[in-house]
Amino acid sequence: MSTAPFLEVEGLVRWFEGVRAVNGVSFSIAAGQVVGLIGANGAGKTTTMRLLATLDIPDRGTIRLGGIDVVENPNEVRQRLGWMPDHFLAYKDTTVGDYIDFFGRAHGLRGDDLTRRVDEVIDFTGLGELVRRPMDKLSKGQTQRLCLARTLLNDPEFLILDEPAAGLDPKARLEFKNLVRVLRERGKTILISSHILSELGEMCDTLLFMDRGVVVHHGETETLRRGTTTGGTCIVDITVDGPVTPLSEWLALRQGWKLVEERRDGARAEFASAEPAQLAAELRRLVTDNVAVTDFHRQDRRLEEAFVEMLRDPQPIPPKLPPVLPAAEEKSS
Amino acid sequence: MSTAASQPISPPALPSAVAARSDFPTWLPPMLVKELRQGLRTRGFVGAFVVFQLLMALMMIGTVTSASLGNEAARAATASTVNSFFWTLLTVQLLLVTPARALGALQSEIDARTLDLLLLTRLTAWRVVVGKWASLVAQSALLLVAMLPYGIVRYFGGSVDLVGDALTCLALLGGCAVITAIMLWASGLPKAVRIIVPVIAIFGGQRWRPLATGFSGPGFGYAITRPESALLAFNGALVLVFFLVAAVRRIAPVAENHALLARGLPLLALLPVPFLSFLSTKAAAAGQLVFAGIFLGIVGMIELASLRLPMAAHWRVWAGRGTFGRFVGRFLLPGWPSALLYVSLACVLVVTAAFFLGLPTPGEAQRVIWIALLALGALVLPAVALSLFEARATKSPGAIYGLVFISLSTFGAIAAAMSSMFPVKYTGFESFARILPVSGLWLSLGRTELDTPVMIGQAAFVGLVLFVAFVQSRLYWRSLALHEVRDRTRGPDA
Repeated sequence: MSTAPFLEVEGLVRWFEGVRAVNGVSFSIAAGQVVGLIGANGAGKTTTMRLLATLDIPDRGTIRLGGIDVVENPNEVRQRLGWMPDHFLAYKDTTVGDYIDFFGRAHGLRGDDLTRRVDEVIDFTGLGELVRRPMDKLSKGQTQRLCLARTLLNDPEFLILDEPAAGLDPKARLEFKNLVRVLRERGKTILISSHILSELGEMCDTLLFMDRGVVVHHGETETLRRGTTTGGTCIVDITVDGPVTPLSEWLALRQGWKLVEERRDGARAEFASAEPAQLAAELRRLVTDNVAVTDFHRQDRRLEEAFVEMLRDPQPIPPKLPPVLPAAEEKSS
Repeated sequence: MSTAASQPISPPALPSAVAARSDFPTWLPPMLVKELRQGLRTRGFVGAFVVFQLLMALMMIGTVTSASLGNEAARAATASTVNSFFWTLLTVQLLLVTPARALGALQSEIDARTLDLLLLTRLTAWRVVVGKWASLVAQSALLLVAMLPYGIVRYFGGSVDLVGDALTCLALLGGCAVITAIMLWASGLPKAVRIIVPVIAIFGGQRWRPLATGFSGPGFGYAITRPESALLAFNGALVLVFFLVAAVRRIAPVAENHALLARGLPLLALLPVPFLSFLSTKAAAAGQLVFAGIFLGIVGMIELASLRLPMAAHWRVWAGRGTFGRFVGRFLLPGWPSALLYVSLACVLVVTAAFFLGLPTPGEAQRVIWIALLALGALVLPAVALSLFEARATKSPGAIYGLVFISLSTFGAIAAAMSSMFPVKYTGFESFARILPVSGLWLSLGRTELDTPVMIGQAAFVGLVLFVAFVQSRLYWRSLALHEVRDRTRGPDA
C-alpha cells in the first residue's frame, strides 16, 4: 500500500444560506486506503463528499485528487472517481441490463469495451440473474449492488460511498462488506460514510470524525479503539487463579489503577494510560508481585463510545480559516 | 449407463447482459438510447399509439361503409370529414400529446436524484437535455409514420396532395420540436406551474381545432415553401434553442454559466429587422420587431427572476479577457443585477431597430422610446420586489416574479374595465394604474397619444424602480469584486 497522499483536502469551506456546512476541513488520504467518514446528521459529511465528487464547488479551499485540482479540472477528476449516493430512485421502465448499459455508454465505452466492462461489473456484483428485471422490482440490497456496479463502470481509482449499508439486511450488509474488501485488495482508495460505526471499524484503515463542519479527529481505527489518541484510560479484565483478594489489594495500592468491578475469578479495572508499553510494564509488575494472573485482557472501546466521547470533548484539528468572511459570500449558494 | 447420463447436467444459461443491450448501436448518443428505451415502454407512448390507431381504423371503416352506400356528394362530404379528422388527430398528437409528455422529463431525473449520477459521467447538462428532446421528437416522428398509411388511404377518397401533405407533416413536426423544447424547460419548474401550463394548453384548445382543420385546407403545405416561412423557421429555431438552453441551465452544475447563449441568442431575433425593412415590406419588418420585442421580454423575465450570486468560476472566464472582456462579462453573469444590464441593452437595441422602420413623426419616435422605458420598468419591478424579500423568495423566485407581474397586469386590466364601464367615476383610478410600472405598460400600449401628467408619474415610478434596483444590486457587484481580489491571490487563505 502506498503512503503518498492520493487525496489532499485543505481549508475546505462551503456556506449555504449563511450556514457554514463545511468550515475549514483539511485532511489527506493515501492511495489504497479505506477511510470512514463519521459524523452526526448535519455534521457536513455529505457536503464534503459532494465537494470531493465535483458535484459542488467550495467557497474556499483546495481539493487535489491524484495531484489534479478538483475545482479546476472537474472533468478529468470525474474519470477517476466513482460516486455512490446515499439514496436514489429507480428509473421507470428500465431493466438492470439497460441501466448498466446506459451508464457504460455514458462513460464513453463503445463496442466490445462496453460489452466486456458491463459483463465484468455485473459478474463482480453478482447481478447476472437480474439483468432483465425492472429496476423498481429490486430489493434494497440488490439496488445497492446495482448502484455499486454503476459506480465501478469507469474503473475508478477513488470511490466515494455515502451510507452504502443503510437499510440493508444483515446478509446484504455482509455481501456488501465483502465487495468493499475485494475492492480494497484491488488497490482502490475508498471513502465511506456510515452511521454503523462498528461496521466502519471493520472495513476502514482510518476514521475521520466530523462535527459541525469541522474534522474533530482523523486517525487509525485501531488507535481509536485503544483510546491512545485521546490520552485516555483503558479498561483491563484480569483473571486470577485462586482468591481475588491479592489482586484487589494490589489494585488499591498501585498508582494509576482503579477497581471497577470485582468478580469471583478476577476483576475489571481502569488504568490511567492506554499506552501498550505501560500496560506491559504493569503486567510484569503484577507477576513479580506474586499475583496469580492467568489472563490480562484489555477491553477495546467501542467506536460508538469513542465517537460520543469525542463529541463531548472535541479536539478540532485547527482549520485554516480566511481572516474575514464577507457577508456577500455567506449568501452564495 | 449411457454416456449422456454420465455427463454432468449443465445449469441453464443465465440471461445475458449482451441480449439486453443489442437493441441500439453503441454509436448513438447514450441519452437518446436511454430515453428511447424508456419512452417506447411508457404508457404515454403505447397508449397514444393504440388509441390513435384505433380511432383512425374506426374512422376508415365508417368512411368506406358510407362511401359504398352513398352518392357522389355524400362521398365528397365523407372524404372531407376524414381529412379533417386525420389532421386533427395528427395535430393533437404532435402539438399536444408529445409536448405534454415532455412536462415530466426533467422532473423525473430531479425526483429520482439521478442528475448527479449523469453529470459524473461524460454526459453534460446539454447532452442530457438534447437527448431527452431528441427522443421525444423521434417518438413523435414514429407516431406520425404509423399514421401515414391512413393518410395514403385518404387518397382513394380523392383530393389528396401527397407533396402538400408531406410538407404539412414537416411543419407539424417542426412545431412539435419547438413546443417540446418549451415544455422541457417548463418541466424543471415548480409543480404548480407545471399544472397550470397544460391547463392553459387545454383551455386554449378552442384554438386547436381551427388550426388543425387549417392544415387540411388546400395548399397549406406549400405555404412553407414561401420566403416568409424562412423567417418563421429562423424564429422557431431561436425559440427552440433558447428554451433548450433554459432547460440546460435548470440542471447544469452551479459553477456552469450558460448566460452567453441564453442572452446572446435572443438578440439575434432583431437581426432580420433592418434587412426586412430594406429588402421586403415594412409590415414584415414591423412584425419581426414585435416578435423580437415579445421574445426578448420573455427572456428578460426569465433572466430577471433569478437571485443567484456570481461565483468565482463564472467571473474568472471574463476577468481574464482584459477590460472589454470584463465589460461584456457584466452582462452575462447569473442573477438579476447582471440581467438588468442585459435587459437595458435589449431595450436600447429594440428602439434602435424600430428606427430602421422609418418612423414618420417625432411623436411616434418618442412613443417607441417611452414604451421601451415602460417595458424596462415593468420587467425590473418584480425583480426589485424579489430582492427586497430575498429571504422568503429563494425557493421559487420565478413564481414570485410571475405573481408580482400578473397581479399588476390584472390590476391594470380591472382599472381599464372599470374606466370603460364608468368613465366619470373611475378615470382617476385608471390614471393611477397607468403610472404603475406593469399595468402602465399594458394601458399605454393601446394609446397613440402620450399624456404629459401621466408620463411624469410613469417616469417617476420607473426612476424609483431603477434606483432601488441599483441600491439592491450593490451586494451582487461587491461579491464580484471580492472574487476578483481573491483570484489575484489564489489559495485557501487569500
